[in-house]
Amino acid sequence: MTDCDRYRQQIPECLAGWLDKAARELLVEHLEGCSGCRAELAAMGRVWRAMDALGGEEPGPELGVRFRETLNAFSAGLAQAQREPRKRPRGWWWGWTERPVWQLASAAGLLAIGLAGGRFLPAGRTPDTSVAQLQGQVENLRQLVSLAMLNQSSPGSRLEGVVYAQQLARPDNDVEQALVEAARRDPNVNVRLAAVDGLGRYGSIPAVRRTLADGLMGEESPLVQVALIEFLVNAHARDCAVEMKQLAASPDAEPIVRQRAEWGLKQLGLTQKEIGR
Amino acid sequence: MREVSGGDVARLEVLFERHHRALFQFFLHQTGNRATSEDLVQEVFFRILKYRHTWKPGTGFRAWLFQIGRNAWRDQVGRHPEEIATPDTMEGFASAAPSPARQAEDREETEFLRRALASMPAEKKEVLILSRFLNMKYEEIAAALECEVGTVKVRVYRALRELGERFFALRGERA
Repeated sequence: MTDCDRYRQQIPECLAGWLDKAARELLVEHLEGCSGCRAELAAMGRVWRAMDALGGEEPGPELGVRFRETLNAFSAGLAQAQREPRKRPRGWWWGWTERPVWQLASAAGLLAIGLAGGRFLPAGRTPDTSVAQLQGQVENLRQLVSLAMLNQSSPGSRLEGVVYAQQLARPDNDVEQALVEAARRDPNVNVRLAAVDGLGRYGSIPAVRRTLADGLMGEESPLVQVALIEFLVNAHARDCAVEMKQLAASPDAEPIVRQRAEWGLKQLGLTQKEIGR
Repeated sequence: MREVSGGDVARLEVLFERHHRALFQFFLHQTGNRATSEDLVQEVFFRILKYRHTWKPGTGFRAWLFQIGRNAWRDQVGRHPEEIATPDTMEGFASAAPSPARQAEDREETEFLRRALASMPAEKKEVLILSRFLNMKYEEIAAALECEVGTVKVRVYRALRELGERFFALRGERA
């Protein structure tokens, strides 16, 4: 880099008044002896000053109104999410995985199966096959763990189950169904929200899109409704625009949800004719 | 932002009041469209609410705000590439009001400059917007763009130089 390059790169800072005194004096000293850099400073200075006329635009007052509506609705949604989750019916079997005796028995059983497998199963497979099988078994085990966690009674555990399911490399249909079920019917708002996020990778599956779109109107939480709208937009779910339009026009929906539904319709780029079909 | 991140989301109103105009300017210079710019500002503050837990204490809020703003803008361009500003679609700006004596000349110069800026590549345009219009220091721009301060310095210089070349070419002058 030449001296001229170095000094020229300081011109915007000089024009903005950000150069300290020592740097400014060095630049001035260089300019005195360099006509090329002086010409560059003059040209840039003219453009810099002309840019004054491009600033100063103000947004309309309705932007603040929309923001406050969103903020109020979001606060209300948060308060709702922090309230006690509603109860859901449980069978006699519910919560068995949380009982210590069953946890101990399960651990002992798995250990015994592992030891027996190591002792009696035939050896001699090629290493590649073994590694592939082992990876497959680990993946299956992860799927089972995430399914088990999604069925826990504690919202925290179900939330962990959703996160665990998101980390699966090749989730199977059971995991997909469990996530859809959690997104639609879990009694806890946070679990439903996480499940909708977790379903992002399934956006290309029409049945998933359809099930989530069907849940839009019946969903109680504005936060989850907004997450569902974003899911449908990211999935380019033009086939679900009717539900979004209903929500946008629903007087029962929170303002933030109606706004988001209108935004969603705009993002999907649908004409009124297409939406009406 | 610490309070917002901790759950007191109502405090975001203070940050909105402080920063929404600058964010609007950023988007307006990128899009040339007021309605799209207002939608994007709304989108950014919604994302802040949604991802408030990802803000790290000690991180400058303005740099984080513009990181989110850049992502929102990129998403917008991805979904609606037709909304990228072109020199002929910058009608969102109100006309400036210079003194009567120089009105015609100034208006012409401003129009050329607006067209020159609109025709710039997005990456070059954004460093100019952040430094010239939003008065952000290079350190803050570097944090927003997630790059080195030296890189910002070079980018701002090159962008200003290119803007000058385009501006003088439109005026039929040589830089």
